[in-house]
Amino acid sequence: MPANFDSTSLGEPVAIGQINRELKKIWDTGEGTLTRASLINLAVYCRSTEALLENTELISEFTRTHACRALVICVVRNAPKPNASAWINAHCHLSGGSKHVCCEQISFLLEGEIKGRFTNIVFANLDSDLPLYFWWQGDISENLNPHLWAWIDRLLVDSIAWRDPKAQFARLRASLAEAKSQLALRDLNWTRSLALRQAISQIFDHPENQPHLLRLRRVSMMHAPQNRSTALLFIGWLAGQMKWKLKSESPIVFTDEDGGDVVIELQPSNSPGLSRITLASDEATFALRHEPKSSFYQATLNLPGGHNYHAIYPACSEDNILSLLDEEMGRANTSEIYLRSLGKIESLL
Amino acid sequence: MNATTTSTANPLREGLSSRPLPQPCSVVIFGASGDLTYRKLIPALYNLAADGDLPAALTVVGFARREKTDESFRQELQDAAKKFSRSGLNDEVWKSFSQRLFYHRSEFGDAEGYKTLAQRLDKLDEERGTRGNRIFYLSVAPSEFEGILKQLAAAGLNKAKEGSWARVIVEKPFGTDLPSAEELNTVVNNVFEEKHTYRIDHYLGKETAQNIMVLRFANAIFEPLWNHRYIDHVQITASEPLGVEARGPYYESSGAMRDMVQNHLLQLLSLTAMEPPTDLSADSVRDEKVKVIRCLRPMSPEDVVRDVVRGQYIEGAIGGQEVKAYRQEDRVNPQSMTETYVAIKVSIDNWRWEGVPFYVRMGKRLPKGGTEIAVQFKSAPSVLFNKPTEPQGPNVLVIRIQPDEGISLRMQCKMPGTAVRIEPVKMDFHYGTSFGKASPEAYERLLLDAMAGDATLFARRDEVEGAWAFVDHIEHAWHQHDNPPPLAFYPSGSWGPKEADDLLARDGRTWRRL
Repeated sequence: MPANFDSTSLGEPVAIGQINRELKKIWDTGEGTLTRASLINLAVYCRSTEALLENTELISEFTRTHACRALVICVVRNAPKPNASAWINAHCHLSGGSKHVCCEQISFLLEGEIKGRFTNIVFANLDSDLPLYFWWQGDISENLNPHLWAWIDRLLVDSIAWRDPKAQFARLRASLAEAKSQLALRDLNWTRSLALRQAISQIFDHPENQPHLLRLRRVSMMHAPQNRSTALLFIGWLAGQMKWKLKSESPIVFTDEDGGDVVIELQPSNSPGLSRITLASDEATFALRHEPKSSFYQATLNLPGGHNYHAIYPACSEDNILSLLDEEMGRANTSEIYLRSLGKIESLL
Repeated sequence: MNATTTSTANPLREGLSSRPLPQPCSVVIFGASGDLTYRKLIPALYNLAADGDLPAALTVVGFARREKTDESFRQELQDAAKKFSRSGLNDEVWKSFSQRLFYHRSEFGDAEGYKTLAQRLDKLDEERGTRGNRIFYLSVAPSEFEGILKQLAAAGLNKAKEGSWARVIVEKPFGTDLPSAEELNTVVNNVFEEKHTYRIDHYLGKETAQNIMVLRFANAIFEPLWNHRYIDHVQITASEPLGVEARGPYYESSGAMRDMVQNHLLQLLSLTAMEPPTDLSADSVRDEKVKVIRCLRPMSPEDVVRDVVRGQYIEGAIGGQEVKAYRQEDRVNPQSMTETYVAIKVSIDNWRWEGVPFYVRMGKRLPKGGTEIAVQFKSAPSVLFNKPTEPQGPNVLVIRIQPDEGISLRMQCKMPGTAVRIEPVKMDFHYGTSFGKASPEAYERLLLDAMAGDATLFARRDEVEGAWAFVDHIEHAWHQHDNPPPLAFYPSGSWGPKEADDLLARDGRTWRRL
């Protein structure tokens, strides 16, 4: 274990073979005042002790609304000698003014290289019969054990952090194919555009706006420099849903089903996340603006005949991992549309 | 245009919403100065706006007698939303939402007021894209329905233009007996077709009421046992510590039977007892519910004496405080015979429930508040365990509707030790513990459904009339029979009259302890 590592916030250190016994003690001590709740297993894979501590803080907040057993597993492969440490913790929150509802967190620090250790740690500490959500943080630098893939119900990644997204997606596809896994792949970078996708789709729920959707000629977006892939995934979604085909990569141009061109303009800006988007047909424009710190998109619709409308739509904080996770938990267990969207823009990543 | 058309016409919707989409419309609230508007309707619409669930083209027009401007109406509603919204009030949301609120002053009987309403709605359609779709929400006393509906028809507002729709939402009470319900329904259906009529029973909008069907039909373990072979009886309870508060005059004319049993509790009973519907469409679900209502065994006056208990609270204590008797409540007749408690043994004459009584009880001034459905299974054979000399503990599945929504299952378990001693234990699921998020208010779900044209959670005419037909037999035995059963009295803060305990004791059963 690194000499300067302060593990206080991880809870009680325990011997790995004694985890269940020690967890039971927590509940025996708190009987009558603490209620243990769990709907999923959330396993988090990270690669530094700093991330281990940050994840603990995040899970403490996450468990306010999502009951789970959390396994936070930090793997430091380049340690001088193999070692494995574990801690147990309970995140308790007041529910209904009187009752403490608690979720368990088991943290692991696995140093050095021991084959099969990681998979064994996950298998041995799952809450039985509950789905396994696996959050892989950072690059997918190695192939996971196919047996572990087969157990995962939902794989969470965040492609915004990937250094080489094209290679990462290729590796991910290979792993999934090898394991013949049915897991749902969920990308938090895709979740970042969820509120925007909902707002845009709501605008085109209105029958008067729908004809313009079929005749879009230009889509322009302003995004923070680190959110280029977020913006591309959004464009991929539009292209996938509207059955556009990529015609040119630079400049980015798609052709719609009628053979018309749709020009895509992506502009980096200093504002966070996806701050501006305009969809324009020959006769109408639909513009959304997200001001920093606002919880809403301001929409302006300019329609033929001089009709202008203003509306607001909920936005989500694209930098806030907790709110992204929160959104993610409420979504269905499918990745079909995401994969379709990705397919449309993978060559642009 | 229906919701399905809207969602399929918009290819961007795929995967983003699993519910029918609300459509652009104007919601006209009659009785916009009333309590329901301020406490429930506007906070519900505001919360829907805050969650991004409302169609962008939605306007709300308050229709009432008092002199107000759009601005003063908005200001009043802002204060109400601040007080009653479950999510508080966000200035940015309110600023946008309030621009959709308008006030239309008119007497309910003034034809001119409806003509100008029609012009105003047309103008809003033009300006705000509401497409001629209208919901008329009658948040007024039933005595006002006929006048309002006739005026709506005279102004042509009940007939939608080509490609649009016009719907009416009616608040309970849907009549006070079968003839009045039929008359009321005829009045409504003379102006709006049944398929455009939405009768709100807010119990159906509650998360746990909706979960009854999921529990029964999405889990393979319950349905095979859900019949007379395995179920001994069912208890449906709604208990309230409150008295009649300021509603004395209303309660005097309704009583517990009309106020709660005819609508809320019979709705819960039909959801519990219904057959699986062929699909989840509004009419498939309601067809099955109405079949249950039709199978309720009608009660003769003699049956009522035997199988129904009516009670009224006398003085007692609630929460350590002394409380007065019903007859001493404000604007209540000192010799009142109105029931504040009712317990009924209901029989359902169909294949599934032959010989399985449903005990339904509702009471005011009871020790604890709560609504639940308890399904008690038959005892396991006593060959090995459960010998007559040992305490019996049948399995009980409890669906808690409110508060502390959830489900529990009681089962038998061996106590640790060298001897075989069996004790009941409880597996308990709490919505609040497992799902940290608050459920939307019932009105939010119901308003959204009405905008989407989904009537599943609204009572259909035949359901309402069938429930009245059943209840009327009891009411007649109480009020029009030569030899009516006596009214039983119970102290406030107790679990009801002794006669209600006797009703179950006669069958060798007891009420569940809540």
